[in-house]
Amino acid sequence: MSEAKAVPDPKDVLRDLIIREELVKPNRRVFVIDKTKIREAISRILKTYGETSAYLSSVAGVDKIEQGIMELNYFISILPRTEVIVLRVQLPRANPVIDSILDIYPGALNFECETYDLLGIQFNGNKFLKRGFFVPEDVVKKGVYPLRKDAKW
Amino acid sequence: MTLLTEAVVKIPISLEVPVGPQHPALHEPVVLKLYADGEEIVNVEILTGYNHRGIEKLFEMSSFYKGVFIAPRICGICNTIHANVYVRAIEQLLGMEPSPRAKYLRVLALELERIHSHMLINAIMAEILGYDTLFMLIMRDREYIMKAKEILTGNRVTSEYFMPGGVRRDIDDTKRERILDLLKRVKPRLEYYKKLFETDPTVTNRLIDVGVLKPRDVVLHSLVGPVARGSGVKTDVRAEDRYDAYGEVPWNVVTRREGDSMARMLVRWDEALESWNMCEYVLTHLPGGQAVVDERKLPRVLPPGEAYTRGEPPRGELTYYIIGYGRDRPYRVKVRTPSFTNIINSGFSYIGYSIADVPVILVSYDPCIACMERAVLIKNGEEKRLTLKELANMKKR
Amino acid sequence: MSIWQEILKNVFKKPVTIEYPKVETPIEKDSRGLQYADLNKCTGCSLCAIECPSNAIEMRKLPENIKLKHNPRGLYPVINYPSCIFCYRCITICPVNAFVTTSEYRLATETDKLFSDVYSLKTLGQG
Repeated sequence: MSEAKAVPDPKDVLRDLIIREELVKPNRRVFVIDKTKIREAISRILKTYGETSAYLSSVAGVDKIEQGIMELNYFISILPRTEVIVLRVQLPRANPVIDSILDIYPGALNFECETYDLLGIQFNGNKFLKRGFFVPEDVVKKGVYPLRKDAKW
Repeated sequence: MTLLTEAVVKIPISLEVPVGPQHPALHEPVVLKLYADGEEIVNVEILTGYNHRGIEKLFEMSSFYKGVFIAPRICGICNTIHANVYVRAIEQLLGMEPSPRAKYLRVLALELERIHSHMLINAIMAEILGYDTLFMLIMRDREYIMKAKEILTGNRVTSEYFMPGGVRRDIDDTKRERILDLLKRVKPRLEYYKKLFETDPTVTNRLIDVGVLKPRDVVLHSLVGPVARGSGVKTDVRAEDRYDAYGEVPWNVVTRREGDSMARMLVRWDEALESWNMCEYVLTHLPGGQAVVDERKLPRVLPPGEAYTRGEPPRGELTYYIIGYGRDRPYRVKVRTPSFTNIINSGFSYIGYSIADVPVILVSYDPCIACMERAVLIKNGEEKRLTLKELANMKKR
Repeated sequence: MSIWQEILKNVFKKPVTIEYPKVETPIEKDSRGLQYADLNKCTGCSLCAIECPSNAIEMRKLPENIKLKHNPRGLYPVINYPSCIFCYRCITICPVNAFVTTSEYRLATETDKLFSDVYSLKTLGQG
């Protein structure tokens, strides 16, 4: 059906930032981008679709110990296209640091706090990060991040 | 003298009122630390972590069939939708598709749960307003829905109804007639309660214009579910993803424009009436065929791949992200429940309202909170408990 | 409209409370209650013990004097009812349908009935 103004495809919006494209079942497109460009990508999406039409659905961190990296997936739901896209960044496992998007998108507060507490990924610029957010006190005292694959307590 | 004033509470002009973590009838133990200047709230801090059970780590250590029974135990009220979203993610990875009759029966179980959950949160809203008669009346009529759930799934609360490939029990004609009869008794009660919420002055005086949320704030803070639909944002996962039989059963998305607490509760009553229509359509238009899956013939290994599925519990949007790597247990399961975003990200919405509005706003986000305790003032490391009257007199001095 | 008409109607009706234990609670015949293994059919394959989500089933050896042709290993499942979550996974996974289901929900009982061996051994005609 035709619309008065065509809604742009997210692949065109992020064209120059995409390194690789993958697929998550059932039909969610994955765009792998560089970790320094995440703020640029999120602000471009918010500006193209407007502030009431795109929201952050989930942020999932995965510890891939055999490849020596940690992956962060940002799932963004775009309402006019009824589609969910994924922005994937890869961080080195020895030093997982990335910029926070809290000032552009205040709804990322709980996701960043939880990922820091369970996996140990640092978000620069988020001053609400603290260790006892979810994890109980005795595990925090041992300095363990529980969701890592080599965590023992 | 400076030492004495420094040892007192750090914010001298406002009072810290801790709300939580122990409360009767609370789904999640949570602390809302309110900083109140007189009666008006100036700042809010939200602390969590009292109910963290390490379920994501438990998923990685058990086989994925055991996960079908772990997933509904994350939440008691929306246990069918947790099981449904997990099972659909496993079906995406295994490449299975349930039969049409199984899809319709799944929709029936999910919508029965939506009706009973919406009746429950409205009853709790009536209870914290002090309107106990209405609370008791709604709970009495909710028993019809619990009996219908027992006839369909075998148990009132935990249903254990889903399995990759279909459902675990089937219904015959006598059960279908009994569920239809129970539903016919519930419908006039739902309409009566909706009319009561709109016109009764006990309810309207405390709910209208309290906790107003603008659409821009709702989307920027990722609030989902009836909280977003009560402010005019038209988002519903059942219409976007069309999972199971939601593409074939006729229904409408319910929104309201005002954005206050009354709009959020009325969205829930409207949704309960929509769910009633869906249940009746499913029971009168059930396709034939096989719905129960034989569990002895299912595959034992989860093939490598990733799946991201979403569902719509009564509270918002629920997402599961599962990664498989060729063994019998998943590599990573990430669950994002709707209350996780709705409660933690909504600290900004209490500012400017009085202390008496805080329970109303919190219950309209679903979960609920009962009441607040006395205030505690800490001075030089010793605790002194004061009543509200003493505090009011203290400020004048 | 107000709630007064509703209250007035309810004054003249009888209360909805079910006075348990004088009156039985109405429960469905096929709701998920107590379950135990029928030893005339059980082959001792241990699938139910492997699949139980809460590890509530333990395989024990049969008593000394019983020798069953269809059970060469001589093991039978014993369910620990305080750990059981009544999900009925053991019933749907059993290859010979050897479980008996009831709708018994009153499980607070004496210590010797906390395990299912009392019921299972009775199916053989002793215990």
